[in-house]
Amino acid sequence: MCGIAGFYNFNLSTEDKAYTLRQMLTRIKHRGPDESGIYLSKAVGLGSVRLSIVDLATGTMPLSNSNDSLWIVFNGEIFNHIELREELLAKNHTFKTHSDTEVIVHLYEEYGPEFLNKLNGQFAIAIWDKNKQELFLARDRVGIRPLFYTTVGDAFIFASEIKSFLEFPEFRPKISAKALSEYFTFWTTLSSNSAFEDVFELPPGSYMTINANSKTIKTYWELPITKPNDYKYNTLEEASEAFESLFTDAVKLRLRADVQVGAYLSGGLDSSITTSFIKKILPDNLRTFSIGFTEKDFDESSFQNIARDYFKTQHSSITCSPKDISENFKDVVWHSEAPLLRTAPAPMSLLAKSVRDQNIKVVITGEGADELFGGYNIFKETKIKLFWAKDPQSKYRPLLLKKLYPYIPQISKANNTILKLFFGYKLNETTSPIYSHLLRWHNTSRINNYFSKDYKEAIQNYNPILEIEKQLETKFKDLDYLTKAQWIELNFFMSKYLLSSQGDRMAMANSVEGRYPFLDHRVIEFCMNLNPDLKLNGLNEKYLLKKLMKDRLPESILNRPKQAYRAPIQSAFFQETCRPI
Amino acid sequence: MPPYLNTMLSEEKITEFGIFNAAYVSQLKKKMTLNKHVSEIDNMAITAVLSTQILYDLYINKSIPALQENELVVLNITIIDESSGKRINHEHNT
Repeated sequence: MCGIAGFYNFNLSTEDKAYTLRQMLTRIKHRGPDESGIYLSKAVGLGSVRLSIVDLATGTMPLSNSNDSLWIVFNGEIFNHIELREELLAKNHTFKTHSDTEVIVHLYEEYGPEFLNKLNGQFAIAIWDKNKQELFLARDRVGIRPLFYTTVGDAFIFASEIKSFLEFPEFRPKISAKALSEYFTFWTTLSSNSAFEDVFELPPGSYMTINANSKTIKTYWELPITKPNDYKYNTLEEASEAFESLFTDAVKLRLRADVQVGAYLSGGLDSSITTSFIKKILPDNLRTFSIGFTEKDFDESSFQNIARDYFKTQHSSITCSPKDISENFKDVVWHSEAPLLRTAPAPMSLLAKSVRDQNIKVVITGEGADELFGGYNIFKETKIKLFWAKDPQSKYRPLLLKKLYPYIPQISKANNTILKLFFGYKLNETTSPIYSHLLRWHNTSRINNYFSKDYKEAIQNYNPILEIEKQLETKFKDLDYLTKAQWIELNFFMSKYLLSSQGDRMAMANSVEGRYPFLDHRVIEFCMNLNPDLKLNGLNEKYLLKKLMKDRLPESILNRPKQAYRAPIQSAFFQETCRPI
Repeated sequence: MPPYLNTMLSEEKITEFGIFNAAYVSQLKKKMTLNKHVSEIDNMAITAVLSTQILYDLYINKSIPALQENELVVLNITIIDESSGKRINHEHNT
């Protein structure tokens, strides 16, 4: 795990370029405090700060192929590097190190950009091809690791985090009103835009080539979409067997490291499943970590204790107060580099800090299970609304919605009339490709009302909800409601918010690498080929997982009502003295 | 609220940065302070305003301290690839 930065076509003296690159790397040294290195040629500069996890002794970057015609800096992990190395050895490639980074450069040499399809990992890659005089950038399938780029004059610059660009001469960022409008609707931007004008993120599952004549982006992987009747897994038995085998391998690959690997244990189903699978492979001495809250509405400590006792792990937990959140919020924004609508990233940063303080660099977590197995309430909400829309005058159907949000008193205690008012927004627009998210996005977009006159004018003709509705109309034709809602959650919320502001940025701010077995692309492809009833059965979420884990998890965790991970806001910023003890 | 966050939500900074309507933000702050419970949207709105103000201050105003020479990363390896050949320095700052 590392941070990378670099530039192309930046015409200064070698000394000045080296100095700029050192400055850019310094801004992201939290991503790789162990060592750093740079490669400079007339056309290009590549830099890396490294968090040593695989091949601690000889994996220093930048690295090259045998004849030094390809140079690479790399952020992330290639979990199947051992198998890929064997494949390359059989093709007479020779290696100088044992690192996964060197495997990438040889794969590129052997297969060109097609090699990306062979990788099982989480990564952002930059390769300088001297023969072609071409810079190659690539990012993992779902966007676990970040990669930003921009241009300043004739120079093209890239980095793991935007803050690196602040050290590039003449870089003058501006907030984008259009991007803000998207953040204040979807929690993220729609396309590859960042919060800053002309600063872009390379989209997940894509690669970019930059040379003297062109700058091209190509997609190498997309989330698979399966139409009804084409699902590959339709029975519990066949799906359970396939998942057990796939997920065991996904976890096994993610335990590969030359340092100790720990795990988050939140007291929920997903992290309990990952911990259960880890324990199956490594029965002893697993370190687990959790966070609780002083405010009981947010606290899951009792479930964390049940999980800890059940798995008998070496467990550490910390408790987060509203004050902890407010005191860390400035740092959280600095690291997330984006507007936030929740304070939830702050406790994640504190949790990562506690992990690092105990000398653990790598943690396995349950991210992705909610999106892939229908865990979020928005999936159930959509199912109920589709049922209600068939009889809009029903007195009883909207009452089903009360059960979904026990932590929001305005909903859980609401009567039929209030529920109809709140949830009835565009109830009958069931053919909209974004039906599942219409209400949520409409409500969130009310934040746009707080814009100043100038900003309102700047976005006056821009309606991001209509924009996305148009984009998805053809793509979503003939799909079931769950696939559509999952696609939206995976592509927008997970990739662009959860894995970024709440994931990579908070962990890497503390030099900790997160690994996500549910986001192994084989697991994702399996889930998108799963009959929806095996995900959301009636209103029972994660049906397959619960059936599979029936005798392998405590009953109280297996069947606990879904609790969204949230953190205090009002008490963090305004009522510190009123918070309950 | 820590003083820095308070400053970021002050009428002066809201007006100076020009992104949000100072009067609306002031009303929202009042609501957050006086009411025991506020809506999910109000909670999201105040977080959105505060985080955007901080983002502006850090990245546009560049209120972060400039890097000092002694803070810069120490390079374990520097590779200078010139037409005359490759130069590699280990454990050396350029």
